[in-house]
Amino acid sequence: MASDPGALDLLHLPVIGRFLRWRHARTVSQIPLLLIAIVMIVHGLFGPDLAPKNLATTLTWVHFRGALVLVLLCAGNFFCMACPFLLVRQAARKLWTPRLNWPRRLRNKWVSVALFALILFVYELFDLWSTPWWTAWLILGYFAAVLIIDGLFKHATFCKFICPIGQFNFIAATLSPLEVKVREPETCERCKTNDCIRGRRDALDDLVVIQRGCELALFQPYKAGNMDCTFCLECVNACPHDNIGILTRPPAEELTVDPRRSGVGLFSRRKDIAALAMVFTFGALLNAFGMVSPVYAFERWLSGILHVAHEAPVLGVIFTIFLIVEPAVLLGLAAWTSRAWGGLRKSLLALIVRYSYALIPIGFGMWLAHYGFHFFTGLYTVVPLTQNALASLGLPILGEPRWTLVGLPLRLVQPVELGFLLLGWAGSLTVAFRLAEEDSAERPMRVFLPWAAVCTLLLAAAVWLMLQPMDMRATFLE
Amino acid sequence: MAHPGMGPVFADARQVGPGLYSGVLDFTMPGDWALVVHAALPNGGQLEKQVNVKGVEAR
Repeated sequence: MASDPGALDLLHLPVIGRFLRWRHARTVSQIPLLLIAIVMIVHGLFGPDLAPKNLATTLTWVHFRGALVLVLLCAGNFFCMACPFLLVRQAARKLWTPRLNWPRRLRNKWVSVALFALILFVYELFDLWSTPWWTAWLILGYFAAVLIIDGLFKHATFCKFICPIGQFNFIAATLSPLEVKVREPETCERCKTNDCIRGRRDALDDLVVIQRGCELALFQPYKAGNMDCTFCLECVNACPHDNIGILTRPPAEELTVDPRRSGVGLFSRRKDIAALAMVFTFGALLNAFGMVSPVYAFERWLSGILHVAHEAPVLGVIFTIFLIVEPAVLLGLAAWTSRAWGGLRKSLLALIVRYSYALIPIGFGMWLAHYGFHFFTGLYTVVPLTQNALASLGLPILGEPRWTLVGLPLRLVQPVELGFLLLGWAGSLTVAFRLAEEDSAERPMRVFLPWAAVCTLLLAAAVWLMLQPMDMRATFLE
Repeated sequence: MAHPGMGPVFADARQVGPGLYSGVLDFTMPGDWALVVHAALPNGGQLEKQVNVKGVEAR
């Protein structure tokens, strides 16, 4: 995908552009998040047991998640750029150099797809939103996992093949309006260094890297879209021609085309990324389903049928239904109908893989609506929590906690939620239609309509979920 | 509400008998709630006691 000549380059803006071009910009961005992570861990382990009074649970499940999706929507993958886990990993790598390469058969997204689904499952099973202690251990576990994986394996193995948050960000960033990309492709054609991926080397010793290149194996001249890009900006600093920028682009455009992407390949051949897109989309609905009243009636009904009193098998059945059976049935039917009706020659699986990317916008709309709800309705809760934490340390410098500070009223937030859903639905329809046009120039509507029906069904389910009364319980059996 | 970020509800309790206090609290949504009682003791001290109220149903 060529750069749009009219695209705005964030790196050319005053102040912010200068900051982002600075080679220590990432480290400086990571430090505040690392400090916040430390505060969350300490408060989670030693602070109040009650989740709404604890910074670990409130910052993680209200503010971090909400800010993450909003930044992805409005800008790009800047949370990966400011990832505090990587700051600790960088420090550790000064003491310890990894020697191993990640096994070839694991160089795909299957492990991270499973971990993504597992995190959603664990979140529901252990009600992580209600337990500061477990939330703190989750953050600590993340630090440990990064240190172990990237301590053993070279490059950015954890980011590319393991990190569930990173995979969430990569998928959502396909809809972001910003992309790290080449400014002038002709300059790359003349370039002999490949520094953007190899890194800049010492003139006297080629084995000494002065400036690292892309650790996620994205070669800028052939990089297309935001998949696997952590916005680390190493390529920006490594490019000897200052030919890489952070450029504006039409959101979701990268989902309507299928070029061979450096470090990724063809989307249409990546069943693992398609599976990630499906877990991302259907997981959004499932995660929201876990916070409304009907889920408890459904769980009780299932536990009666299964004759089990434990939550794990009941949740297992629910996850199997919503993350495997439902997508397989819906996408299988849509693929079969569009193939039969549109006269397509592709296999059912090839069609499912190709059109699964069209569901990403409606999935992201659901994540935005859900996380945006918590973010906006609980926006100010960080104030009394911080006041309370400081007061409990004997430092009431911010005054007594003002517990009445909560967030924006529901009457303002609900229209925004609906707007996110409609935006996602419109995005999914646009992507599906563009793909259908490419598949059948003569009869694109016949190919498009079954997928439009799937998108509309998902929208209807999402709107229904958003209109349900919120109901958060630690267990359905009590 | 047990979920972080949700609005708390406040109410005062009045003494209705020796060691017995009564107040009305309107739970604004179904789910698990935690009732945090703050009391001023006769000796000038403060007391904070948490009572978990699980599975509040919608009316």
